[in-house]
Parts: sequence; C-alpha cells; structure tokens
Amino acid sequence: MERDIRIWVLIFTLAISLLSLSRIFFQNSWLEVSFVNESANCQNVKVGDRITQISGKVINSLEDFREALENVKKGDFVSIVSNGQPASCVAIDDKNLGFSLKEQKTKVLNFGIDIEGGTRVLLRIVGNSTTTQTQEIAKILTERLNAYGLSDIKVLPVSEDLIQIEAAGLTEDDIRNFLIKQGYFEGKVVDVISLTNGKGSIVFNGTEIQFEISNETIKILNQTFNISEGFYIDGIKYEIVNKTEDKVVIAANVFTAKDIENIFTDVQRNYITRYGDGYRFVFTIQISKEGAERFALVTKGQPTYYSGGQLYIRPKLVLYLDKKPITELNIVSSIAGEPITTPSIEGWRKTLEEATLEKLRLQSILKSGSLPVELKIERVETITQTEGKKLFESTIYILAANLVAVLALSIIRYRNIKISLYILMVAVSELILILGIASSQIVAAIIIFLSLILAIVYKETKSIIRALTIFVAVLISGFVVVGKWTIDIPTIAGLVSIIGNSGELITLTDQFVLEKRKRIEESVETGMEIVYNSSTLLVFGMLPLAFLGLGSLKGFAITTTVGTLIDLFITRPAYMKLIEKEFLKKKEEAI
Amino acid sequence: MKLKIVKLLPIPLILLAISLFGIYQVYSKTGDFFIKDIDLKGGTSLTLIFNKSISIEEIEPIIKKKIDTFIISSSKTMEGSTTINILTEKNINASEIVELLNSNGFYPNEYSIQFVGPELGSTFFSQVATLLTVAYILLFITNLYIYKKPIIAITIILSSIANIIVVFGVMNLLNQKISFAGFSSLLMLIAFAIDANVILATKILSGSLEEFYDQYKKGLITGLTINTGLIISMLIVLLFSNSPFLINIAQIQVIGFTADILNTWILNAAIIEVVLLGKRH
Repeated sequence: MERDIRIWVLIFTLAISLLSLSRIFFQNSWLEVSFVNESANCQNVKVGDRITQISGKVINSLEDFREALENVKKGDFVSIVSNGQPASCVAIDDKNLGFSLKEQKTKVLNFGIDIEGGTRVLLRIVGNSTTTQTQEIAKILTERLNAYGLSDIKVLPVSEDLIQIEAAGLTEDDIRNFLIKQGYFEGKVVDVISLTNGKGSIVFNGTEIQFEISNETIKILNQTFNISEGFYIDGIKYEIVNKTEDKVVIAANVFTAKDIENIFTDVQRNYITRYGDGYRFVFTIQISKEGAERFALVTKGQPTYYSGGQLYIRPKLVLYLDKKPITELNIVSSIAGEPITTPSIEGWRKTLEEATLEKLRLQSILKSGSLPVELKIERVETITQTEGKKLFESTIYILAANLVAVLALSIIRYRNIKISLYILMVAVSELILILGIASSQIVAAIIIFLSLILAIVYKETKSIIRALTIFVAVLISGFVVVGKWTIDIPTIAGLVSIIGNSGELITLTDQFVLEKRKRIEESVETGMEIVYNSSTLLVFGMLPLAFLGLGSLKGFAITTTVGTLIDLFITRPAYMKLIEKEFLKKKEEAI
Repeated sequence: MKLKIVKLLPIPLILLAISLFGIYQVYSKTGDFFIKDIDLKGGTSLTLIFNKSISIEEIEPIIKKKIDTFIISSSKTMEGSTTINILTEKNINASEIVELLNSNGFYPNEYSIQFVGPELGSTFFSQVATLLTVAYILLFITNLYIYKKPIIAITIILSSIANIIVVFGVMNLLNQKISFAGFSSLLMLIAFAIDANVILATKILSGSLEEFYDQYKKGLITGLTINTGLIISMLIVLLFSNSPFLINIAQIQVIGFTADILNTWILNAAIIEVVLLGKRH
C-alpha cells in the first residue's frame, strides 16, 4: 500500500508538472525591439515595439528578420510596421537597421535576464534607511519604470540599503538620467526686484511689503532672517536666489511634488510640435488646491508689462526638477491672483526622438513622485539576448550530458541496467518537478503540500530535528508559492547540481549493495538516516541565505531547498521502494 | 590496532600548504585572498557583438581615445560574428563608446555592459562573511544534536573550510578569477560537500570500533562514487559551456569536489580515527 501511494504521488506530481509545462507548446509569440543603437535613424521604432513587417515582408521569427536584412545596404530606406503603425529606418550599415529584435512569448517559465536578456541594476541608498523607506523607494521606482513603458520590470529590495532592478530595454542612459533622479519637483514664482540703498518691496496678496537687505540678512515684517535661509510670508517660503548692489532675485515656493495631482495625457494638453530647428514638447499637470492658492497669493497685484500685445506680470513661474529649472513660464496678468491648477511644462530638444524621450522621462518622474533619498549606482549589467540564448543552449546541453553521465556512472558502478535506469528516472523526475514548480505557483503549492502530507502520514516528523527540518524546508520552499520562480544563473547552477548529484541515490543503493548481510529494513533505515542527516544540515545551512542573502544567494538557497524537499518526500521514497523490491527479488532468487 | 588513515595525512596537508602559498602570493600583491573578477572588484566590462568579422587591431586604437588602460579580447563564431570584450577598472559610459565606434564606421549589432561600483564588493563580502558564520554555527549545532559527538561537528566545518582554502589557493595558482557567480558556487560546494561528511560520520558511528575500517571502506566507495559524479557533471559544464558564469562555477566545483575527497576521506577521517581509535592504539 505504502509503495503504491508513494509511487502514485510521484506519478501524480510528474503528471501535473508535465501538464503545466505543456503550455509551452501553446504559447503566442511575437518579435519585439530589444535594442536601438544611438546612431539609428528610425521613425516610430523604440524598445518594446512589436515589429510585424520589414520591407513588406511579414516577420514572424528572428530567422525572418535575418532574411529581411540580407539585401539591405548602408543608407537604404526600409519601411517597417511597428505596433501596427507605419515606421521606417535608414540602414546605418549593411544588414543593420540600428535596432535588434527579440522573440517574446506568453510566459510559462519565468527566465531571468541572464537568459532573456535585459538590464540588471543594483542601487544603493545613500545614508541610513529603514526597511519601510527602502520598500517605499522600490514602489516609487516601480511606478517610474511602469510610467516609462518598460516591460518585465522587477524591483526588489535585496537589503536595507540595496535595491535590485531587472528590466528589459532599460539602457544605461535611462538609469543615469532618469531612474536615479531624485525627482524633487518645485514650482517657484521668481521676481527680480530693484533695490535703492538696500531697500525694496515685495508684492504679496496685492499688498506691497517693504524690506531691507544687506549681504547677510533681510529685514521684513519686523523680523530679521539670514539670507541663506530665506523668509516666510503667511507660511509661504521665499528664497534669495541672487543679489547684486541694485537688484535682488527672490523666489516664492508655491508648488512641490506633493501638489501634483495628475499629469494630462490627452492630445490637447500633451503634445510635441516643430519649433525653430528642433521640437518643443508641452504637457499639463494638475496642481492641488493648496498649491494653486499659494500661487494666487504670490501673483496677485504684481507689476505688469506688455509684450507681443499681451499683458504679463513681472514675476515668472519657474518649474524645477532636482534644483534645476526645467520650464520658465511668463504669467499672463489675467491669471495673476487666480488659483491656477493646471500649469504646463515645456521643453525643447533637437530631434523628435529626444523630445519624446525627455517628455516621457519628465512625466514618469513627476507621476511617480520624488525619491526621499539619493540613490547611487552600484552595479549595472546588460545582457544581450544573443548572450542569454547562448547560456540557455549550453544549459540544455549540460543537463542532457549530465543525465548521460549519471546513467553511465551508475552502469559502471552497479552493472545493473534496471538500477541505473531507476537512478536516471529519479534525476529526470527531479528536473521535471523543479521545472513544474517553476512553471506554476499552483503546481508548486500542490507539490509542497503533498510533501508535507507524506511527511506527516509516514511519521517522518517523529524526532524534533526531523520535524524542524521539514518545517524549515517548507518555509523556504514557500517563496516559490508566494512569487513565481525565476530561472536564473543560481537556479541553473542548482539544477545542474541536483541532476549531477545522484549522491543520495548512490548512498541508498550502496546500503543494499555493500551491506548484503544486513536485513533490507536495516539497510533502508541507515540509508534514510544518511539522507535525512545530510538534508537536515543542508536545509539549516541554507536558512540564513534564504532569508538574509542578496538576490543570487537567496535564489540558490531556495533552489537547493526545494530540490531537497522533493528528494526527501517524493523521489527518494519512490526510488527506495523500487530498489527494495529489486533487491528482495534478488535475495529470494538467491535463497 | 594500527592507525591506517593518519599515515595518509601528509597528502591533504601538502595540498593545504600549496593552497595557502597560493593565497599568500595573491594576498601579498593585492590584499585579497583570491583574484577578484570585475563584479567583485569594481570596474566596467563592455561586450560588443558585431555581425561580421572584426579584428582587435581595428577597434583598439579607437577605444584608446576614450579609455587609457583596458584589456581587450575577442572571440569569433562559425557564423562569422565577432564578440569584443573590453575590461577596465574605470567607470565608462557604454553609449559614448558605441557612438565613438559608430563615428569610426563600426556598428555593433548588440552590446552589453557590466559596471560595478567599488563599494559593492566590500558590502557583499561583509554580508557573505556574516551569513557563512551564521550558516556554520547552525551546521555545528545541528550536527552536534544529530551525532552527539563534538569531533564530528568540528570535522565537518573543518573540511568545509579546507575545501574553500584549496579552491582559493588553486584558483590563484592557476591565475583564475572568482566572480559573483563563483561565490554561489562556493556555497554549492559547502552544501553538497556535507553529503560525504555525513556518510563518513554515519557509517563509522553505525558500527562498532572493530568495524571502523570496514565501515570506512564502504563509506569511501559511496563517497568516491558521489564525488566522481559531481566532478564529471562539472567537467561537462567546462567542456560544453560558453557562459563565463557557468565556467567559473564549474572550475570551483571541480577543484572543490576533488579537494573534498582528500579533506573528507583522509583529513577528517584521520582526525576521527585518532580520536576514536587513538586510545586503543
């Protein structure tokens, strides 16, 4: 009965794993832009776009892409269909349009960027940070990358001061000039005020307020403030930006990042137009009521001037990002003193692509909000799809070669084809079960749950240490149920080891081969004791790595523990029953 | 009863001495225990992939305009594509290098970059050191609980540390770097080398002292088969893989599992032999 149940559990878990993995054959696939060269001369082609046609030819595979480029010469104009829309490129070299494609599929197995290709960044939080703060930063970065339109984003705090990001299509330039920008937004009403003998006046809510300024202090409303610290009127902060003998530049802080409520994306309020010898981009943001009221108080009653038939107030609205001005807007007198809730941000870039990129970056930063701390790049890795494909192919060869090695070694060692085939079967089963777990969180949950049930039913929890081992192994394995498992280099290393490490099977088999005088039950008991002891030590050794380790250490610990759990409760007991039967038969024949 | 295994002790001790010499050589020059790859030391590695045949001589003078000191290497495939790898200790901007190449008529079809800040290595090492200390303490306690003999718990930790010393030493003597992936490999080594020690301990303790050598022999056969399997599987990785990550992992495993045979079945076994049979002798 025991034999049947344990073997049936193995068959059942193998069946659900294979069923889950069979979805690979029903995946939808398409080609996506993975890289655009800085010198590319393309219209409407950017990272992440789906390419369906090149020079009128339908492109379904990377092979089709290579064929389509076969006769392309440097300088050729090539028509493209990108995201269903017409696009084009001028070839930058023979057979090179300046961009690369990668094959995308609906995912069954979640491969890391080591295989898929992409960028991995490790960012360090400058200064002290708490776990909550790190999680908040990770959330802002995720929103920022989502708003930027990148695919396959993974933002993971790996320690209190380190955040790891994986994303396809993220360039080094994006990381430096967009992702780690603190995104500290400010809107200031800036005015140049004339001074007479160090005296001048500032207009606030339609009233002129006199002040007296020296090189170090400013006296206003009967209070003296240090110039470097600025001053407050009705809770609004004013800063002294610059001071000369006869002029002082004063900025009133009216908006901050917290005041941004919305970024409009409709074509009326979000557009790019040709301007001079470049492109001007404009987009409108919605400001909070409080911010708008501050704007009204500061601009009301300000002195005016005429320009181009339009009446403006003297101060200008300057929008800053990370202390750098991004937009300077003249304020029409009709809106001065009014609570303006929708100011526009404008900018200019030489090419359409640059203008589009800059607008998108600004919008993404403003949308995600500012980072509470400064971030520093600690590590950047970009892996091309070609490199990833090479790694994947070599992994397949390695796994296949390992299976052959396991079979050959066991044949040489035991000279028994049946036992060797059983060992091979276990190695293949472990590979299938691990891939099955990686393919579906439901499959992972079922396999882990069944392992636990088998452990309880067969009283594997009889000693405290065994019960603890099972508890810790299930706890660590739980990571693959909570989040989908990513197959990356540490996982591949673990897989190769699990396949190559037929150690415990050999230990169990040797109990029968080398201990011929012992009773079968005794051999099984010693064998399983060795397996349990080594699993216990392994699981406890992996415990700190699984919960405290950096990304790759954690991945390795999880892979190893999941492998151990499968070994202990699913594959090893089934194998034991099979060889027990084999050796019993031999003993009977001998008698 | 004559002690047999202790006579073989010079073999692992000589290997340990050679390894310590390899570690000392690198430590005296760099202050590190092993040769760190760029991802542990800090610097930039830029890989450029061209769909046509390109020689280093064509690229090197162009790169020199941007970077003073760097190491350049190339590999070519049967299909005619060329992969150029540039290594430098400085932080370089890949886009600038690609633009420079483009302006000189070289258009890489793809490129990848790996940049590592110098501080990351120290953070990584302090974390690994803490985690390994915790892992070893847990291993020791668990071991003590299972076998109830401190000598068994000590020898498992000892053989694990000896394996790491041999890996560092031999890698240094072969002038091979250890990367971030290589460190994962060291963890694999620690994890899987436990198997051999558990077999040794369980076998020896399951029989009487009279059966010591008989049980040792049986354990040795099993242990050698296991390590041979692991070494073969990693040799296959070395032969077939073109991934520098997997190659680094496999190098460490082959050295580590070979050392593990000596450290478990001679060094550890000799210590256990002396402790358990020493009095009788």
